[in-house]
Amino acid sequence: MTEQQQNPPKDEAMERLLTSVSEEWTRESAPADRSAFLARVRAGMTEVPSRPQPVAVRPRHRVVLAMAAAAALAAALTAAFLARPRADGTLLYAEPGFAVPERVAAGAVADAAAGGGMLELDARRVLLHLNTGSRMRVEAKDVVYLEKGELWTTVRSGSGFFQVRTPQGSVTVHGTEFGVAVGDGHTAVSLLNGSVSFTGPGGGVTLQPGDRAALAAGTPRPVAEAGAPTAAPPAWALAMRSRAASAEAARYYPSGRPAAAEPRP
Amino acid sequence: MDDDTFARFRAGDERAFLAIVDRLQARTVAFARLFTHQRETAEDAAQEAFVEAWRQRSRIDGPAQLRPWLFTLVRRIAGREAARRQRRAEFSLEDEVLEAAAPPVEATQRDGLLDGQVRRLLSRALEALPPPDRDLVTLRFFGGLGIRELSEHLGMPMGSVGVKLGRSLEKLRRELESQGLSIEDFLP
Repeated sequence: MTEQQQNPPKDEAMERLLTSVSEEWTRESAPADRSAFLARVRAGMTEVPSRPQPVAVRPRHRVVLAMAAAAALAAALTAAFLARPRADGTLLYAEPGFAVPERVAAGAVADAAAGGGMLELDARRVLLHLNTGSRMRVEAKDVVYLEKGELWTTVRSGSGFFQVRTPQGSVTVHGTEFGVAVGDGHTAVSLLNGSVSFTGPGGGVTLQPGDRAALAAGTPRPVAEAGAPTAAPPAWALAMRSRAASAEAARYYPSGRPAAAEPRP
Repeated sequence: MDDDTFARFRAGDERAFLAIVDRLQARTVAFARLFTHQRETAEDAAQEAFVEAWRQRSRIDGPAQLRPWLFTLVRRIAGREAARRQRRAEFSLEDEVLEAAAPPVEATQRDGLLDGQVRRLLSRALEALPPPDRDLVTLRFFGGLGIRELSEHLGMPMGSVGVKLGRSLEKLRRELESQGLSIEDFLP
């Protein structure tokens, strides 16, 4: 019997079901932030692979070579570690005038006096949008100090501790998306998702999604603020994401050619 | 993918590669999510696979090999991550929500093509297939590979790929029907 004779009839209904489900699945799965996805891939392309490529060797040489390779790798890693501060984050997007080291280490200052920017911290679990007119210092991979201006933060859900300190108090994250604004002698916090603890010198409050609270200099604890609940990231952060996406796309399509949709198979 | 973009990628042109990444990222993350069941882990797996594709670009012979190569790697990375998570006895929030939200299947439920229940049954039926059948169906429909790409990937004539695919779909239909899902009831 030939293969052709065994060929089952084309199951168009099954194919249509799979096509419909896979199209919907693909649309839903698309990364929410294309530019951040591309930036992460680009960052990975420049990193040194953590594992050396396998080399074919005769068995009796393997142990000696493995020991030598391990020693060389350890020496190289130690030298690299000692030679520069630990990189805790990455610059994703910078508007003209935004000043920050490209590889963000503890102690780095992000100065957005003339233009905002976006940073990632702590193995990509924290995404920061810093608005124009702001100044922030990275204290550690999971702590930043916002001296002035506005910061919109997205922390990967369930990924652990993150804290924003301000001159008046601190905001500790429990997996969330929130904004912090430092103005003239006060700090205001608005929460979109998850929960945060907002703490002053004499105590704190826990915010729920939609809540806003403010802490003025010289007062012991934050107080709830009236007004419409926080329902979306602020317009400036959304606009910054859009500009970042355009800037990222322009890197790959300098002629202005739009990204073509993948053709159907 | 056009030959010129692929040639520039092979030659180490970062911009050409990132254009490829941009074009394939949604499909690749979606493919990874089939195995991780979690969006964030799927993005991580897809990124790792893209970076590996860049590092090993000299091993990818032509444009028709890129997507099969990439998706095969994505499946391996995503499977490794899923196994690691299982060992840690974590559970998938998405799975849990899907289970809770999924209504019982009814034969008259014609608007439910893309609802959680159909997906869950489809996912279960795919998992029940022998690995070669599952690979073929997922690469074809979720990876979006054409018959020619599958033919080169599997090293068999295009006609034979069609026959194999037909048999795999037959098995998938039987699996779905054994779970009480009549496919025709769920088509728009």
